[in-house]
Amino acid sequence: MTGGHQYITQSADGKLLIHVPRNERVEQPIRITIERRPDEPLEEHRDIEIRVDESAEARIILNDHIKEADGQTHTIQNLQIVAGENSQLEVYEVEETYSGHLRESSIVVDQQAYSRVTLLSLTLQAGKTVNHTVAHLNGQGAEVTLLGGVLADGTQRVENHTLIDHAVPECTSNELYKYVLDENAVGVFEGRILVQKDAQKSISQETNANLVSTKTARMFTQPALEIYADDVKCNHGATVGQLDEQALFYMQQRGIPYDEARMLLKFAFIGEVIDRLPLESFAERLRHLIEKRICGELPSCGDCKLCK
Amino acid sequence: MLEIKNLHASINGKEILKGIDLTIKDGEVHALMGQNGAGKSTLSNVLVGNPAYEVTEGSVIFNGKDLLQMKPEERAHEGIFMSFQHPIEIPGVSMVNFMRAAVNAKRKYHNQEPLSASEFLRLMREKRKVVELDNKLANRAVNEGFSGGEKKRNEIFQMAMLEPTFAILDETDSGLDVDALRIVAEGFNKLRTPETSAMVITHYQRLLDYLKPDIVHVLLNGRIVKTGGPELATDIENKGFDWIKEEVGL
Ligand SMILES: Nc1ncnc2c1ncn2[C@@H]1O[C@H](COP(=O)(O)OP(=O)(O)O)[C@@H](O)[C@H]1O
Ligand SMILES: [Mg+2]
Repeated sequence: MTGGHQYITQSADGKLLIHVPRNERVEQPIRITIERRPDEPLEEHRDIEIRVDESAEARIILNDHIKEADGQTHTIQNLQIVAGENSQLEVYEVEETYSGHLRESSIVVDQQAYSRVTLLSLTLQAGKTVNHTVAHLNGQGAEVTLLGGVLADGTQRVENHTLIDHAVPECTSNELYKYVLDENAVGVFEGRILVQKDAQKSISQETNANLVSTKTARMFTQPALEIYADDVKCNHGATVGQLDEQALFYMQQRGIPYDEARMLLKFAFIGEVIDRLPLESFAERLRHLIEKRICGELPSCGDCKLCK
Repeated sequence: MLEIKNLHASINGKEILKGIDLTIKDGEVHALMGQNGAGKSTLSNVLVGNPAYEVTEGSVIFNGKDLLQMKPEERAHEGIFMSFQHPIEIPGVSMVNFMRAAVNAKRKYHNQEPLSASEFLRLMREKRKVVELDNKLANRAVNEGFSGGEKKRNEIFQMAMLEPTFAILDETDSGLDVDALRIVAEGFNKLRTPETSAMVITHYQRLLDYLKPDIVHVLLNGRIVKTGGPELATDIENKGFDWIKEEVGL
């Protein structure tokens, strides 16, 4: 693990703590890249805690970069996040592992009053990934935004299970997960919104949209609302679709080759998630990575517009 | 330019075109008229290679080449353009990226270097003027949230960008108010050269007043049943199609 920032400490048992004290605003994103040295065990237990105290502000980028090794690599990640009153936190998680990797991740967020948290989970390359994300809105006026993007092909399998828990009144949650599945990939999305009995005036919007571009790729989606309060505004929805044939033909009629047209549509689809990121410089970097990822599926596309 | 012989085509197994013969020479503008459902859009879509339509018989030669063997994008590179009756919205794909991909794909096909970013933007600016397309629209996603008229204007803007030698306008005038119609029609005329040809589908004389077609065809029930000069369009405007149907026994 790398980092070296003043806010990061590592305890004897290997747990990583990122702590931003009260009122402190960290302008530069804190970057942590996770790699595995050849002499490290194949199975890694990763413990990370992020604490952003009252009225503090931070952006954290977690890059999961486990590479192919002699044997099955396996990561079990535990990420705990505590966002203090009135704090602002953005956590961007990007997985770029490989087809043989197994990743199990659990994120639990505890949000105090008026805290604002944005979490991105972007799966660019993976083997089998199971992400669990739970956000507890424990203080009035807290706001959480869960964003997810998945690009999967081959026999990759990516699961995202999320729970947003409106425990107290007047909290807001936004959730958008988008999957682009190719070849034989499998995607799973399970998104539960729980609005507890006293959580009046909760606002929640949950969307899962999926592009399944082959007959053999499969998507399983299950958004669920569980509401025990009566004065709430909650919406949820899921769609599974294919590439728009009419749009493809329109582009071809203008001279854009079929394969490039497909890539443009996939990029546009997943781009909606990236457009929502508050940190524009990072969003731009991700767009570039996504373009490369989408082009990588087609080795013959070397000179298409997206790949340059 | 274009030579269509005994063209039959169907959609979902239903025969729509039942033997079309049509020759369009360099520099000519042909108008294609006919009632709703006659097969005008089908003919247009077959010419640009829409995979939803199946050609069951006949041939189409475009500048000496077998058009029906070409992919849609190759037909575009060879100089064919269609202004869609119903232009498609493509959320998330900006007009700029869309047009840059299109222009550079055509350049590549003709062994030309791609345009640099600044050359491309200059071209966009210059061509926008042809149909007075608002800069705001040029910066949005393709056709997304465009009004009906704006979409049609955008079609002719794209035509200006791609400089086709053969253009098909499929009811480009529908949905345009009088001023927009004039702008679009005049824009189209600016793009004409002695070498470029067009097939213009319309229900109205007004567009043809601007475009001055050389030849007018009537398509009914999957066949071209009558061909004449510009006066044929005036007759249809005044009398409708019934007299033609009677003439040909439909
Ligand atoms: N997707 C489709 N499936 C079945 N029939 C269709 C389809 N699209 C068009 N048609 C039919 O084909 C015929 C010709 O349509 P079209 O070429 O669009 O006519 P026009 O442009 O002359 O009004 C019509 O009868 C129409 O209903
Ligand atoms: Mg039509």
